[in-house]
Amino acid sequence: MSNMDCDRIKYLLVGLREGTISQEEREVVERHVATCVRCMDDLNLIDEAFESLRNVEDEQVPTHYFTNLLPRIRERLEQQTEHGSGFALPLWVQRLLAPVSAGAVLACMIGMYILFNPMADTTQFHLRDIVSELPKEDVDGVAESVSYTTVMARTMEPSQRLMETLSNPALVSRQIERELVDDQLDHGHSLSIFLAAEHPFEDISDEDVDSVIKKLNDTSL
Amino acid sequence: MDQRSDLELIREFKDGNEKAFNVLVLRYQEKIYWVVRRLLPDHDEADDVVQDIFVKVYRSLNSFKGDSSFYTWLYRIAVNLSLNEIRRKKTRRTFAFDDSVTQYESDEILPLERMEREERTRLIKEAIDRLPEKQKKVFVLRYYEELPYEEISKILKTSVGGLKANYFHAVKKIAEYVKHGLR
Repeated sequence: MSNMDCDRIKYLLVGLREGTISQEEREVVERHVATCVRCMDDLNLIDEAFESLRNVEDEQVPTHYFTNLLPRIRERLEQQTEHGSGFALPLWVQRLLAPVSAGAVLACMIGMYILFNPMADTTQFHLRDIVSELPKEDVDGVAESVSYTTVMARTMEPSQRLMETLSNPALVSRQIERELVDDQLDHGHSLSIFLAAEHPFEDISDEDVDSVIKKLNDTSL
Repeated sequence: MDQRSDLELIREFKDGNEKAFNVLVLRYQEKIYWVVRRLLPDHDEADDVVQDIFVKVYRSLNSFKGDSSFYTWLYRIAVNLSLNEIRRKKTRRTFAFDDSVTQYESDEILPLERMEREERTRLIKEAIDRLPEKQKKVFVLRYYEELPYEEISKILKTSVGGLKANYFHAVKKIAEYVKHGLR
């Protein structure tokens, strides 16, 4: 039995138990499992998982929770409108607002510097390509969009380092690049700063992020 | 039961009918709560995120273009905000158990069967909590929400093949974790 068979079959095992694969696939899987110890083990594990899941006790929800939810959402909306002059942030965002606002303002400053600095080296400041395409109101909107991402927490430390290097814009630019490129595993967090201005962040796909990463990687320092 | 479709309600909301938003909340609040609750095991955290989700929906509804269904859009916001909350916390949490599961009268002698069930429940919750992010969200949407892969694919913008692989690994990891824990 080849590994290739197993690799193909194993993703059908769950479907076999769920009854969501075709009759033809079912026959192939059953024939394979009957002669393959590894896939038989996997199938047994899947059976055990579903058996355990079936026996899990139901979560508890406080009485009347759903009855009271809508009024509480309305209340939160009103509170945020009162305190935020129309610009609403979730509570946890408000907790992080100060350090992140600093980061967002810094990002805008860098963007503006890059945009309006006639001495800027065009090959070096490739981030300008991203930022300069954004209308001003969208750049301002970055602060709002980015508020909803965990980049807030993540940018605290980099922002401080950037602050220290602000006197040298070239270094700032490179530092940003490093933060972004080094962060490929979780790149969605940081890159959404830039992408958020063009899309609601929940619409950012992995492909969007990858394309920006590629753009950054393809640009020589 | 309000018969208006999601799109009709959204249109009415855009035309200034605030109550249309209420109908959408009431229509989806339970589903969204449970998606969030599976991803964030603590009720209070889940409650906070659920409110944030609907606040964000309220503020974004005017820009909803209808490229995807409202339901898909809403689920995507729910999953993303829940995962943001998890990432924000960052440190691996230890699971917060419901009082209903862990607290009982001190003089009560639990039958063995009940204890085993509670232990299994605890392990399952821990196992789900420890899944990698992608596997966790696929697992919640597939197992608990019973969504078809095609629908999940739209919500998470991932290929169906990738979803199946993630779901397989999630189920397998849960089984292995529980098995190991019960030894």
